[in-house]
Amino acid sequence: MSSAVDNEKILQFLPFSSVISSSFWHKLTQMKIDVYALNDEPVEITGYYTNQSISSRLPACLNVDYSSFENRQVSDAVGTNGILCQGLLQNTNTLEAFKDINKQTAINKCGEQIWNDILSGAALSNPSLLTRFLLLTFADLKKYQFYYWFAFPTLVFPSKILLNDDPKEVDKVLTKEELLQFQQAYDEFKSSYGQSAFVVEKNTELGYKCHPLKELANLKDIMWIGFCDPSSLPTNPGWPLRNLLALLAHHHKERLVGLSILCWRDGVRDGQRRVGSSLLIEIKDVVYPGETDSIPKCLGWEKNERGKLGARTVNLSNSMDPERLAESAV
Amino acid sequence: GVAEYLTPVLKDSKFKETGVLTPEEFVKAGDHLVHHCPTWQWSTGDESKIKPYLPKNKQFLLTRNVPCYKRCKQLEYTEQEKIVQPEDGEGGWVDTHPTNDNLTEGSGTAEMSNDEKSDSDEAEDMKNNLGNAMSELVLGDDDDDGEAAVMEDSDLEDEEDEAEVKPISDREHVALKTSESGGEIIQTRTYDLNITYDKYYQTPRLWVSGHDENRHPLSVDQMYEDVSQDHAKRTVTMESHPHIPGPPMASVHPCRHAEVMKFFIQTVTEGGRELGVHMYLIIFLKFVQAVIPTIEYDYTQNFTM
Repeated sequence: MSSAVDNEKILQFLPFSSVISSSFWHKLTQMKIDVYALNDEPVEITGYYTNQSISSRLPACLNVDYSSFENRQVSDAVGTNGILCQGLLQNTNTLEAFKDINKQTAINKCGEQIWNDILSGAALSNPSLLTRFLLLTFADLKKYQFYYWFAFPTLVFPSKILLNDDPKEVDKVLTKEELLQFQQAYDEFKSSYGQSAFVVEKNTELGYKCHPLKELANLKDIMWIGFCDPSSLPTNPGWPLRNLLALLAHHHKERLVGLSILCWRDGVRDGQRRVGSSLLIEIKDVVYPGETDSIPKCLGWEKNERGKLGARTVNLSNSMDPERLAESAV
Repeated sequence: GVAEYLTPVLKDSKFKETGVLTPEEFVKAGDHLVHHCPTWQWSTGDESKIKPYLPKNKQFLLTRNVPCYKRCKQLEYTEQEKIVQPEDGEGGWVDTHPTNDNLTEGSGTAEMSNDEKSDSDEAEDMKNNLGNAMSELVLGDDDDDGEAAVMEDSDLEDEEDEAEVKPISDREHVALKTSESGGEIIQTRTYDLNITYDKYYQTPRLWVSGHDENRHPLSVDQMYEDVSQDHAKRTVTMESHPHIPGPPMASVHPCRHAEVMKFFIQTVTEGGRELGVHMYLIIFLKFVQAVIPTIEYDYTQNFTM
């Protein structure tokens, strides 16, 4: 990897890492037998990720489990720091069909949906439309073997974002008192809007105030654009920021250079809330793709254990095969 | 089971006398835990498995993606270890760090003290190392390289995405972590923990399910590596989860919970104070730590024995 060419600080994002509970496969098996049968059309499911502080140093997990098949609209199901996101599940009938699906076409379709939500402004009103996932599966029910491949579609727009400086932890920039004030403003916003991206305004009369993204055009004293960050890296934000920046680049291109982004990390450890490791990033310059009339390029298939683009497999015969279960129960 | 089905729901509080809970007390203690440790949340579970004696949206508690950086055998047990002995002298719980008399002493073991540095100290360490971490992309040598390669897709443009953070290998992480200089994502085992209300034993019951470094489900034998030797196979059993569909899940058997809890209540009472029932799960999580000492779930709060 040739980082730091000409000492450019290119903004890099931490991709999501998928985590599938065994209960997901159990429920998929049930759905395949009882509901989908031979229908392999994509169906809507949900997943979720969480805000975390850097002390965990965990990957940016995106979880699916048995409840992903339920129609969850509210984030009650995912706890205080959970963020619900929509995904498409395509379960094929054969391994061949799984392999034959054109992966680029499939992810482009998701990218197009996200881009349309950006163009229409729908994503300004509802930023959760920006963070979607695609899950291809094939369930070999005889062998309890499951093949799967996640994609976290992201638009390459702008094509490159350059930073002024290394990201800074918010507790190095704000005083304890200021951070507490901001935290209160954020909590207020969260309880009334529940959105995962927001505009932070600060002025002498009001102090800090968080607003929904769609109010961006009407606000004057903008301090930061914030988003709930699943990354626990001390230097890099997580994947959701990428499509958020595509949204901002389309609607508020003039504001992007010089804009400060707050990567909000709201973790708990030892019963103590930790928000101080949230990052502040300042955008120095932005490079746009050459052709501007088409849909931006879309990327985001998850890499396998070897760091290559490829599907993963999981074998659950130990926990699902009735014969083996009977043996181990003796 | 049938016994559970036939056991009537406990109506009156017997917490102080016997260390058991009514469903209402379980909810009260759960609310307290969620309030103080928001990594824990209430869950409804599978709609078809809802228990009528608990509120629909408060059927059980869960916390997900809890890191487990070490196996139990990597913990060095020392002579400081002592047994928390319930009165009848049978069994009991191994308290792995009796020198901590204050429950706010977070993450378990002395070896993990580097975890207790402040975020900002860590950030400094991390910054120093991230440069190195970013500049190399080391591939792990999986056993199933062959199969993985078959599933790789040559149609996709595998061009470098310069805006993506690249990981380094698992083994590198372990090395960095143990040398106290880890500055990047750690590929580690993680666990999902559930606390259900056990109607038969009238106590909370802990369930664990884990994923390995590549986020594949852990087998039972692998999970035993994260259960203290005194408890593996004796205290941890595989059973059907009361609220989640799927195969049997590992659970810390609740047959001694009430007894241990009673012991804690008495200790506090003898110290001239009173232990409120809302504290039940905080204490419960403290004592099950003896069973799963390396799973770093959140439970602490100011409370002195």
